[in-house]
Parts: sequence; C-alpha cells; structure tokens
Amino acid sequence: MVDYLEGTTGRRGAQRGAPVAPGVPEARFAVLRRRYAVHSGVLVVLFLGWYAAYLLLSVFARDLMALRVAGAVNVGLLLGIAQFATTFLLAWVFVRCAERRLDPIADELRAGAGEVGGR
Amino acid sequence: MTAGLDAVHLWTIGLCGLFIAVTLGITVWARRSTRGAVDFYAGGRSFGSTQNGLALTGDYLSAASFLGIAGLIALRGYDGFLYSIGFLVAWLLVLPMAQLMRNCGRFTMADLPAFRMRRMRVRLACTTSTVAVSVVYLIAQMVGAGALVTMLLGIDHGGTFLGMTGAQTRTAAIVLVGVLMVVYVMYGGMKAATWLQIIKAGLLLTATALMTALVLAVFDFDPSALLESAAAASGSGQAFLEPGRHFAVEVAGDPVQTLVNRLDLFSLGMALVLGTAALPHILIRFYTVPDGRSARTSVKRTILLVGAFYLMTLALGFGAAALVGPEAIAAQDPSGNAAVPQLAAELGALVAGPVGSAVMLAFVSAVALATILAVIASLTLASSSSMAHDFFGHILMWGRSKESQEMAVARLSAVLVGALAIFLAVRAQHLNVAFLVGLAFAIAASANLPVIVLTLFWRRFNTRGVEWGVYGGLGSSLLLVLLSPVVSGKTHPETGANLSLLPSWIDIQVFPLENPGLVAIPLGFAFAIIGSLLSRESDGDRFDRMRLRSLTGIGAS
Repeated sequence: MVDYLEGTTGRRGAQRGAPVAPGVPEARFAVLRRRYAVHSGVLVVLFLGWYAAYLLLSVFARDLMALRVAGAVNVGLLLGIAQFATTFLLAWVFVRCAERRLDPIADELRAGAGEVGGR
Repeated sequence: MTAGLDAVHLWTIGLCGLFIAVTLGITVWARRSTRGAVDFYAGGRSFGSTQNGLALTGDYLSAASFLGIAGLIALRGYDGFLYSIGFLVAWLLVLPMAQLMRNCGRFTMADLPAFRMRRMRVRLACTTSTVAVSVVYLIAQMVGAGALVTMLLGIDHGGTFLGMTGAQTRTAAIVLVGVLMVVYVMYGGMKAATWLQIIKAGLLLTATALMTALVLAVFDFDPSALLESAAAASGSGQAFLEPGRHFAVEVAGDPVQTLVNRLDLFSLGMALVLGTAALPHILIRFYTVPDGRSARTSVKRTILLVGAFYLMTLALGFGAAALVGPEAIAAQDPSGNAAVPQLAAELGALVAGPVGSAVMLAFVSAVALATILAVIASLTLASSSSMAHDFFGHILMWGRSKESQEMAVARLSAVLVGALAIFLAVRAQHLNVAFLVGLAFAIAASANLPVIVLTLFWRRFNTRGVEWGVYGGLGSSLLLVLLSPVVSGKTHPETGANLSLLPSWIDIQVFPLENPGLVAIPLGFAFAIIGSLLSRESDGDRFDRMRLRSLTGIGAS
C-alpha cells in the first residue's frame, strides 16, 4: 500500500509553464487538456440538453407527443426511441474522436515521460 | 393448476440451484487464484473491456430494471419508458469520466480525493458515503428478493410453503440471499463478483431477447399491432401510449399540485442521470481493467448492451399489458413487479402448453433471482472494500497495514455489511423497491458526484470541500426524504387512504417532492464549493500531477 503516491509531500507553488513532469512539455499537455475539455463538454451539453428537451416536451407538449405517425406509433414513442439512437451515436462518436484526437497526444506524452504502451 | 404450480416450483428451484452451484464453483476457483489485494479488490486488473462491459451491464441492471420498469410500462404505459431513458442516457456522463477515474484510483472511490488531499479525513468521508449508498441500494434489492420469492411460491396472499407462512418465507428468502452474497464476496472477492455479473448479464439478456422475440412473433412482428392491442387491453385507449399517466400528472383545478408533480419528474430525471456516475459499485468496476482506455471502451460496450435491454423492456411491458392484462398484473402485485413472470408463463403456454408455461416461468424467475444475487454481491464488495482499504488500512493503520490484514478485514466487513443489510431488509419489507433505488441514486448524486467531479476538474478543491460535500449532500438528501410525502402526510386524493410509510397521525411532511434530487444535488455541489473556499488549503502541484495522470495514465497502476 505504501508505494502509492500518498505520503510524499507535494512541491508547492510550482511555476506556471514549467513542465508538470520530467519529459512532458507543458504546451503539448495544454493541447491535450483543451481537447479533452472541448470533447467531453460538447458531449455533456448535447446529451443533457437533448434529454432535458425530451422531458420538457413530455410535460408541456403532450398534444405533440400524442400525434400519431404510423398506426399506433406516436411522436412520443419515436422521440423516446430517438433518445436511444442518439445515445448510441454520441457514445460511438465520442470514443472515435478520443481515439483519433486525444490518444495520440497522450501516447506522445507517455513516450516522453519514458512510459510505454497506451493508457 | 396445483400440479402445474408444483412443476413450476421444481423447475425454479432446480434452475436456481444450478445457478448457485455454478457460481459457488467459480467462487472456489476465484478463492484459489486470489493472492493479494489487487486480486481481491480489483480482480487482478486482468479483465478485458468486453468482459467488463458485460459485468457493468450486470451490475447496473438490477431487479428494479427487469421487473420494475417492465411492470410500470405494463400498468402505466408510456411513462415507464421515461425511467429507462433516464437510466440509459446517464451513461453518457460516465463515458468521459471512466478513463480519468481509472487512471487516478486504485481500489475505491476515496483513492481519487486521497491523491491530492489530506488522506485520512477524505477517506473517512468517502467510506461513509460509499457504505450509505450501498446499504440503501442493498435493502432495495433484498426487499425485492423477498417479494419475488413469496410471489413465485404463490403464498403472498395466504398459504404456506414447507410449513412457513408468506411473511416467514419472505424473511427466510432475504436471509438466504444475504448469506449467499456474503459467501461470494468473502471467498471470491472481485474475481468471483465479476464472473457472477458476466454470467448474470448473459442470462438476463438471453431471457429478455427470447421473450421479446416471442411477444413480437405473437403480433406477426408488427409493433403497431402490439401497441394497438396493449392500448385496448389497458382500458384507457390511446392515452396509454402517451406521457402523463404516472409522472407529472395534471390535477384539474389544483395548479400547485400540478407544479409539484412536474418538478417531481424533473427531480427523478436529474437523480437518475447524475446518480449513475457516482454509484460506488459501478466505479470500482473500472479498476478491474488494465488501463484507462479499456475502461472507456467497456463503457461504450455497456451503453450498447444496456440500451438494447431497455429497448426490449418496452416490448415486454406492452406485451404484458396486451397478453396478461393490467387487471391480472395488478391483482398479483399492485406495483406491477409480477408482470414479467406472468408474461413468461403466458408466452410459454402459447408456445408449448402447460409444460412450456412452467418452464418459461421457472427460467425467468431463476434469472430474476440471479439478477438480484449478483447486484447485491457487488454492492457488498464495494462497501467492504471501502471499509477495509480506506477505513482500516489508511485510517486505523495509518496506511501501514499488510495486504493480508486488509483482506481479512475486507472479509469481516463483508459479514458485517451483510448482517446489517439482512437486518434492515427484514425490517423494511413493506418499502417500495423503486423508491429505494431512486433514493440510492439521489444520495449518490448529491454526496459522491460533487466530490468526484470537483476532485478531477477543480484546482481549488480541498479536504474541507470533500467533507462538506459528502456530509452536506448525504445529510440534505436524507433529511429531504424524511420530510417528504414518502415518509408521511400523503393520502390518496379520493379514498383518503394513507400512502406514506408512517401511520397517518404522524405528519412531518414539509418538502413536497418524493425524490430529493432537484434540491439535494445542487446543495451537495454548493456545500463542496463553499467548504473549499472556507479553507485555505490548496495544492496546485498535486492537482497538476493528478491531471497529467488522469489524462495520460503516466504513473497509473
């Protein structure tokens, strides 16, 4: 247990722009941070907004939700199924973007820090 | 009918016995191959992302999903669907965080804040909330197990089984399930728990797919005919397929109650979406894969499996409404928990007569019991890991414990948590399962989520912030439930019957919503932020190192 980072005291008041770890250039790490923030921010805003919109429609637009489209299938059911479809789509796009735009930089930083393999 | 019932009992007991025998065999194997803390807490970190995706699915789909949601759809129509959508989209919040949580932690949730703060105080806070969330969730599952067993034996409305009355059998079922879960966790640790989840997820998805295919086949694979037939059987026509029969009900001439009903739906939605990312038994599952990227991939797989499952519950729910009928479902269990077993019996009878009916009912019942058993084993593991690793290892022993000592404590904690859960579940048998699950999500979202999110992303966050966030979020969600209509002061608008937990002469209801999420989650975040700002402690250097490790995995174990 003691090998965990706990127990070591942190170096306080590090200079801004200084490397966070030996062999890891701050500029490249900043790119990784920014890209991660944009990717996950877009994902969270999109899915929370779309889910909130769906809840609001199901409360305040019941006439619209009750509109029949084909046979017994109404707008409400189609929008519900659409929530499933967009969840699958968003998950797939997020992982694909992360693999293409985040993982290569992470690998580069890991190589610089002397670690091999992907995390 | 008596002979048919007996056949069902034999088949059910046989299939459950087979499942228990196989899983106990795995537990024995897991015990032999468990050599240290990494094996016990994290299954040796050797599971692949598909295996872990299945295990996460198994962890997530409890009896509340399998029996509860389908039952709600069967009785209330469209609104049951709102539950499944909330439970699914929640995973999109887990997706971006999985890799970061995996890279920063080792065994428990407390590892995250302990990376950059005063270890003992944050570990104590995190142990408290982990055990609180797990125990509430455990009670929900065990109460469900008790109700399921008595219902399957057909003795919930009088009658006896092996000389025991319904109430005694229910208690016996809770105790038996509790003892089994303690055995799995004590002997097998995370390896046994993970294989238990994988088998259970496979069984659950197979049973659901089989029933969905049969329901659709009955209606010649025409979804519209299924919906048409369900709406006709429900007695309320097209309104059955539209929102508004269960959630956000509009009360004519009472705008205040209408507003409260609407806010309650948003409160539940918020708790479901924000709670998933903060459930301790889901979180520790990310430590069973070798690295952060596998954690991310396993969440992607989970989203596909969980989504497929919830889509199929739609067919099960409407199928039960159309083929069994809401009256028969409500007669068996007013909250609809019996809809899926009843549908299974009906489908089996359509395919192969009385024998088919008995076999299908037995199969689905065994799957439901396996579902409950697997989820509670994971919950027990989450709390006993936290008690052993955080409380014993790092607080009592100052981080100088031996692995063998910690694992002995983990096994002992499993017994303690199991005993506590059995005791509480026996006392709480009359509580509604869906309410308890919603409560567990609300507590997780208000006590754990602020700590996890702010630890990962806020430089200024510190020890006092963690403590305020956990105790403030936990306290406010529990207090709001105590003051809510669930506990007291709720009566049926027409009949005047008491719908609350406490007898009608006690009325301490102040808070109008049944789910505390809408208020408690923002309060949890506010407590965490104010607590941090009131303390001058801040360690930007540790935060930088944590951020580097979380995003790249440099230094992660």
